[in-house]
Amino acid sequence: MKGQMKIQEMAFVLLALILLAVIAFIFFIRLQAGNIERSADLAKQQTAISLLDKIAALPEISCAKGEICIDEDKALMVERAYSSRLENQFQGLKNVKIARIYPAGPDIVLYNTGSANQTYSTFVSLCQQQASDWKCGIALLEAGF
Amino acid sequence: MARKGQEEIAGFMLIVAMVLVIGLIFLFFLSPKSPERTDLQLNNLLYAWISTNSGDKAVEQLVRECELGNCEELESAVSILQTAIDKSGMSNQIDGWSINITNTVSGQNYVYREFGNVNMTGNSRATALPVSDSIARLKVFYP
Repeated sequence: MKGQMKIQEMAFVLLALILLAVIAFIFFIRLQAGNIERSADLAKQQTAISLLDKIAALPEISCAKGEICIDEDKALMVERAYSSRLENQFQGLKNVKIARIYPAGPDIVLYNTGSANQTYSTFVSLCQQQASDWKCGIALLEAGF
Repeated sequence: MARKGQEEIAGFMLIVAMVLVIGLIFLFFLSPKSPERTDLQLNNLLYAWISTNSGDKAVEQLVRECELGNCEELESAVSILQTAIDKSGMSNQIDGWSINITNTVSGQNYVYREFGNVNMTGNSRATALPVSDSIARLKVFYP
């Protein structure tokens, strides 16, 4: 009888310990969940920016000066007449535009098939070739998904 | 005798609970902070700024002039970076940022400007680009 009591007590203690460990584990997981969500958002954003870098590197709009650089003259040409030929490059996107930041100026719309659910953007150099050099400003390359 | 045993078990459970709670608090507050991460967006911004013309000269050229002793124009070119951060809406998502241009040979600090709250212990991201003999470092502090 006494032995049974001891076994019972031990079982209760073990049960309580397991419960406590489960509660602690849930608490820890909930703390970590926030971090995981933040990391997922960041990864999504970085993937979108990588895609934008690829768009900026398209030969139809990039300048020969260097990476993450858009040739303003080429971009204006795409905006005016060439946009439909880039449909394959912009597959999966709703719209692509270049918003001038410095110096200020009108946006250059490279592609537009409607309003987007989510828009990602990255900074690019918007350059224009002068007689012997490039004159550059800062712009945002925006892509709507 | 049985009462004594029960007290011992209760005491044991209390100790285990305390150890667990202390362990969790330790894990929560003393977990290693993730190292400062670089960011594609920041990298693109710094690259765009370095290539941007302030007047007739690119910022890259102003860094070279600063290495020769004339840093006034480079100092004022920081306002272009501030405009880019404000106009892009990035300033709404961050607490503060800093730009630092240092000569890698002499260690001389040409430009160091801070905007907003940069004494945060929270998340921060940074990027750096070499320009001539110097290095430009942009750091952003997130809430």
